[in-house]
Amino acid sequence: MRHRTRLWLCTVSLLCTVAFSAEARSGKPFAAAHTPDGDPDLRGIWEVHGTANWGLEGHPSQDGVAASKSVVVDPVDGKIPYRPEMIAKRKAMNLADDPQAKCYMAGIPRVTYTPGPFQIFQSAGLVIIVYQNLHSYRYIPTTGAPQIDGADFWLGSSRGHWQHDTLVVDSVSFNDQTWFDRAANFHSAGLRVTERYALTGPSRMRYEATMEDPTVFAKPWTIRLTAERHNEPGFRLLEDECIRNSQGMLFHTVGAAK
Amino acid sequence: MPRNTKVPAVLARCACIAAAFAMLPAFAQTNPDFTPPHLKDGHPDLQGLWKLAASGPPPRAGTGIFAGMHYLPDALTERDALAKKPHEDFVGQCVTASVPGAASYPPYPSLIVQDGKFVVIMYEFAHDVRIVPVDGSPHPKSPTGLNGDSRGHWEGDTLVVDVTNFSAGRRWLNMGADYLDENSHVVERYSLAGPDTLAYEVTVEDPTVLSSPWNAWASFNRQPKTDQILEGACREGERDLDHYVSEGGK
Amino acid sequence: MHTRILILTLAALAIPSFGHHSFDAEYDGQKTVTLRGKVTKFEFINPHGWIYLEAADEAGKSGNWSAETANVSSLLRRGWRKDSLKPGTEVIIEGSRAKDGTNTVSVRSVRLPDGSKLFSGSTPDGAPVK
Repeated sequence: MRHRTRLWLCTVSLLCTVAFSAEARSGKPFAAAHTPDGDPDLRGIWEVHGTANWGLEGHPSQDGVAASKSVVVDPVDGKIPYRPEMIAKRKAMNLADDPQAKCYMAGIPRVTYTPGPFQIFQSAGLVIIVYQNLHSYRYIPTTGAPQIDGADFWLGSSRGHWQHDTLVVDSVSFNDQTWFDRAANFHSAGLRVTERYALTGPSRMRYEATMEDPTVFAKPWTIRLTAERHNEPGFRLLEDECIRNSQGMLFHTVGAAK
Repeated sequence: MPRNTKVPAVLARCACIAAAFAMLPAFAQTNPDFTPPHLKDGHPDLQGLWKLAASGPPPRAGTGIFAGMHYLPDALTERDALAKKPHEDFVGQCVTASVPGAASYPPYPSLIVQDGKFVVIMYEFAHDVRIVPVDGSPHPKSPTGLNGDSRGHWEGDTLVVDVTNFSAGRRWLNMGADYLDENSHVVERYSLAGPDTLAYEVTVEDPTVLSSPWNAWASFNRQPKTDQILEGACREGERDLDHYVSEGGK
Repeated sequence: MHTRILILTLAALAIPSFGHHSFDAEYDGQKTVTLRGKVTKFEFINPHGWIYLEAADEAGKSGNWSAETANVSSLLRRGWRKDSLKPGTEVIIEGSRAKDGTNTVSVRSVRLPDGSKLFSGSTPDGAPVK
């Protein structure tokens, strides 16, 4: 190959590498393709890797789980801003009471980073998210329909709207039964969650969730995570049921020894 | 009959099911005078919140769509024995009503969504969900679980869903212990019989449980736009009755 | 994987029974009862809601009663809300008596102080769900 051509190829590939990593690092909104109905296209199978489910505020390496920093980006100190009178309640929680260990639905936003993929479907005025874990699903209309109130749900009532290429989902009507992670971070039934889903590349999505719950937290707080698209041929959500074995212990059929 | 006997030839099975459909009464089939609305991809729009037209409680053994199940003698004995083992009742335990059980579960509605490569059928009962690829991809090689593996294709204005790969063991279809096992092969047909009526036909073969193909049909009514699918948390309320309290209103 | 799990016989073990029971096993559809009293607690949950009340039946037998309703979704669609039965609300409940003789009923309808009625059940007249 001629020297000049080689130099040109190296320069182009170097610039491309820099450009793509810069985009990934800055998390700038990616110009998403659109669905046939004209909405930004977030369809596909996604997964949040990492260990947020073990502790949003970060945790040391333990039980075979790698250490992790806090995924709380606001406040900047990475700590969930409990009201002073709620700190004692948090300290008194028994980690063995994790509702997820009883195969109860994960709540929001925990369902997003509970281990396992989720799949986003879209049709006119509607987003559906199906989670492999316990085959939970969320019905998220983007038509402006009012929320369901008057009952408390594990995954709340959700309504979505588009801000440019970002899907914003508002959720209310929660019960007080779920935790945010295994570290017993909790909330009341007054919780309101705002999530933001935005592609930052063809196979990467930035996920943010802001929690407001004035009886528990001194101010709203936000987590940020990255979801990766599954592009492996034939990849699909597997069936996950939670049943009892002969010892009376609950276990998930996904991942059970064959 | 040994429980794990497999049907020898796929062709025989297909011919059997085709013959069974040919015998279905005319009124259960697509209404030729009705043209359903179509989506941008050219396929009929079956989307909506659908509720079984039949009223009443969830069906017990041998009632509703299960009336057409004809068990082999040993399997009938098994069914009656199973009915005394609530520990194995995955319907009553809020695990899953499986296929085609979930489709028959009044008063819980189901939601159909179409998004191009997939048809997603969500059931309010136990938040069961079936993701049905309609891209022509084949069934996988191994069992996939209690709901099997669903693959759909369009025949004119009818969505045909083929379900196989059920995991081994007896899976309950209702709380009366009607059951099928890993040798079941389910073929469903969904079509619009009118703007607000979904026609559902199903044929089930299971040579180790049934003496002949089980044919059933059901009609679903579209629910008003003011309604939506709701959360079907079921297991959660069975064990932990504390805390779900409305005291003084929140 | 599934073979091992699903063919295990669990009956030999003392696993507490769970899963929503059938109406016929627990209640007598022929034995209706009318309770008059005050709500102490209302659990608006799946697969059955529960109304706890201090009430008396037609025979005047008073005490603490438990009244089971249909699931949340069915009730929501019939107009029930989690605050429909605040503690202290005076109600008249019609239901089917439990077979075991305890102060338990399966709710057909609840009459509220303003005269309106909430129905529980899969048919408009509040007949049992299952």
